[in-house]
Amino acid sequence: MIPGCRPLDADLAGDLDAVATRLGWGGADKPAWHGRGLSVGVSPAGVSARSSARVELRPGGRVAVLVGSQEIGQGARTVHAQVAAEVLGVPLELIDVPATDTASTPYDRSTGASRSTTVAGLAVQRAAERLREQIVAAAARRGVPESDLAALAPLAGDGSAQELGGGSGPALFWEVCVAGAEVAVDPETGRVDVREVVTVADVGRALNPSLVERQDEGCTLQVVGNALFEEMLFGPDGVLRNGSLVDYRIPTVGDVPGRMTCVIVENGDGPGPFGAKGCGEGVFGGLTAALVTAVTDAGVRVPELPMSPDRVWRWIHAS
Amino acid sequence: MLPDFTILRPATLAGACALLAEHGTAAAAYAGGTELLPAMKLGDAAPRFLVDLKGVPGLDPLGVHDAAVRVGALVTHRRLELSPLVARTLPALAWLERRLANPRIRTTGTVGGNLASGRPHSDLATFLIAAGATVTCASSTGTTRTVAAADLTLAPFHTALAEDEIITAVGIPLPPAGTALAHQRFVLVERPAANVTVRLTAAGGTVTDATVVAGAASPVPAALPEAAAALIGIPLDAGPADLHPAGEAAAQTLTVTPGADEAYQRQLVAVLVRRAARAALADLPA
Repeated sequence: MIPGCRPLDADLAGDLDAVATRLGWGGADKPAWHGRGLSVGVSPAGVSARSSARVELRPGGRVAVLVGSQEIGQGARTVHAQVAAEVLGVPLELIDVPATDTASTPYDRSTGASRSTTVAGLAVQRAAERLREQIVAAAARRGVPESDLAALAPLAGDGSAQELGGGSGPALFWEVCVAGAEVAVDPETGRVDVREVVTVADVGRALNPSLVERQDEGCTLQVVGNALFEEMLFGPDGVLRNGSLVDYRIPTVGDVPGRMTCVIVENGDGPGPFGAKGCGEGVFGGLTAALVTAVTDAGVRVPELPMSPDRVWRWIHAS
Repeated sequence: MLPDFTILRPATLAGACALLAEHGTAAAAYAGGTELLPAMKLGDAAPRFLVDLKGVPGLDPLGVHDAAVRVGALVTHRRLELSPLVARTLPALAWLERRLANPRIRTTGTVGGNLASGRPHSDLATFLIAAGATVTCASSTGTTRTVAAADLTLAPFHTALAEDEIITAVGIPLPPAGTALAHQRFVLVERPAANVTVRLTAAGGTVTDATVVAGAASPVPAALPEAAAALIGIPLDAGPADLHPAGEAAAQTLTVTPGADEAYQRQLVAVLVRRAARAALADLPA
């Protein structure tokens, strides 16, 4: 808890139990050079409540969601369409989320800090609620059924996330990821094989569970790179020595852990739409530490990252 | 960014050799481009003329001839990887090709280009030396010569090819009954940090002949005869203690690339020699 910041909303004990159960904690003895670790990661997320959105009922009866949070592969458009469809009670197929145009899209501070669902999504929810009120009022006024959207168009509602406030710190909400891993270390070469990863996405409400799982998997791969081999090497002249993808290794399909499980926890304790919190980035904090703990549990003291094979081999033979 | 160049497309092998002779060091033979083009983008090479070999007929056969698998210079890694002939006669080569780079590179990169680049990390060069392969080259005088794979790479990125010479084919002797090959590689970044091929021949339940070749960790792929000698006489069901001396001999006699992490490179080669030997033993008939 940080003064001025929203307190941490999460069931950490329950999350840790979920990880431990799936890793078989306390079960059969591990083979030599195998290790398990788990860790709690929290990161301040949201950054700013400055998100606004507009939801328009357009001629012909289709609905357009105008929101500045960008689709960068994380599924923002899908989730924003879902939020509007849920509030308006219309099928998802009727919703368009057009590309952002600064001439017509309301202001949004940024896409990042896990804020597209929680902060921009809240603005979409509020805008859709205003539109719904307009639809109901117009239907009553004109004697048209609320379901006859084509007859009621055009109408629009505006919304924002300002109710989240600014606070004095960086955390509009806390992104939580409790993670665990099982590794096998090859003592002859120092290679760390990530056998299993469990991430608990304590997301409050998973608006799209499949996207939550994919976010955790994507971040798991980034953590594998960060923990096991990614490193910028600088020469004595200060020039980056491994600035190409031939020399700087990023994770590939071959680096995917043997098994990845994402456990979604929904306690409805987030400030976003329907109790949602952001997800994905939290894995950086949780899983990186869990991998270090697992390698330590396998018998290797880890003084620094990345745990590249050459280093791990040296650490083994230094002790 | 690629520097400016002119692409030349000869229709015959003689025409290609003549163009290389005419332009000398200003020209480079070009096939898949997976070695040459990145080198040009990085500024490590700037040939003004690329002599494109892809239109030259006769450089892409893959078959058995005179008790050897004949592989044309334009045969891609992918063709070797998927060839039933290679899978049947040289399974260790198929194993190696399946692990090279990525499918896009394997579909484009050629055997001839891989060897002509003189890259010290070449898994193929290490394998071919151990397999006793030969490399056939054509020149602008119309003559061809055959060099042992072991004599092709003289120094990193420097081969025995003359300016006007083009690799046309590789000949890999069919392993006789009672002989098995195995390849191992260890990758830290993009290219292997070390690779090893072991060739073993056995009779009467023990190893009677052995070849050990290591690459990537050394300036050029080269045989390690002391490691090979340590494998002779070991039983087919050799345990770790039987294989350990060969690994130690390899670690001690390896010429390590200057500037590399020497202790780790020696360790990797020792481990790969033991693992390749174990894999080759497993492929020998009891």
